[in-house]
Amino acid sequence: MSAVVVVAAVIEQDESFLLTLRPDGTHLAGHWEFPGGKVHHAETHVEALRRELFEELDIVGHVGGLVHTATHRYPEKTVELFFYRCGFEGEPKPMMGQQMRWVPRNELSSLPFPEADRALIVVLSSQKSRN
Amino acid sequence: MLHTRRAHPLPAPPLRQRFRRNLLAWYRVNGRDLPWRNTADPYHILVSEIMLQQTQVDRVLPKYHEWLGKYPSFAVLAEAKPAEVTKTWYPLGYNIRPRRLQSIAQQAVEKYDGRLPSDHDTLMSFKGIGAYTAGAIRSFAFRERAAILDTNVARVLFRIFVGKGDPKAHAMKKRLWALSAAVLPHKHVFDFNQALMDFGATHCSARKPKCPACPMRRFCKSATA
Repeated sequence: MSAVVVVAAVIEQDESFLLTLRPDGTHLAGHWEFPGGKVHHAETHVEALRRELFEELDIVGHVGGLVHTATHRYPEKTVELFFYRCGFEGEPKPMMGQQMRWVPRNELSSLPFPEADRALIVVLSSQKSRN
Repeated sequence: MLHTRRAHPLPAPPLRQRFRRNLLAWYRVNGRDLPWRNTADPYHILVSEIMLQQTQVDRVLPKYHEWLGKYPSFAVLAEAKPAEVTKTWYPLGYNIRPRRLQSIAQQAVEKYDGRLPSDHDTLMSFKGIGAYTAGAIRSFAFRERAAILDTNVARVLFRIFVGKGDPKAHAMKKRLWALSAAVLPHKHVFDFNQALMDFGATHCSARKPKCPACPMRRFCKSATA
């Protein structure tokens, strides 16, 4: 079984992070996550992430550096995650009926995240502001 | 009396005037003649705007004509088979876009008599319209006086009026929005915004700006020659 490759955006503004809630009926429903999604065939990571941000939030992404990677084996699949710092143009609006929130850094650790995001949450929670 | 000083003063009115004049003169000679610049039909303009998000003009042109041939109005698009609509869109990419267009058409037909509303809040209440699309509809389909800031415009304003600092920082983005609003004229807003985007796309491009032949070089903060 080949792994599912997922790219996700770490979008930080004024000490808060842009997160979305996985809707009911999907894998890991009720968990918060960094916006992003699966890399399609023949797409680069940057292309996939820009497409996903456009689809999910109606913003044009500027994909920056890779900040974290993780491989996670769920019972039903193996997921490889690549997290990139991102800036954006536009005003984010949840386009798929999902919930969206700017979550302050010091509240990150109190929200439910997928197992695969844990290490990144620990890193971000302890970091100083980049701005 | 208390005097407060802005950290970053906006360009003085004479400089704004000069920038506008030079830009519009440049546009009259170098502007591209594009079909959606010669129509006032909000539907046509909406189709062009959605196609142009993330896609180059020369790829959009043939598809724009094909699309309007097949779906000449909101009403026709609203009734079309979704699979057909997605197929017509191919190969423009970002395939959420044809679905959004069709969804906008259906909502316009159901709730607004087949027309688009022009105010921000009503547009934002549409499923499939975010701030980016709402802004484009208001400034291009309804010719409202609204500032724009896409990648090309941000680069032009940064180079000419700012020159140093991080062009992608959050604070800089706010400053560039303020600049975009400050240079906006009261008349010819549509032409001015189109000119700004063309200037960024073809003259003040990311990799090869044409500085020696630039009408802004005398006051540009980034001119190299």
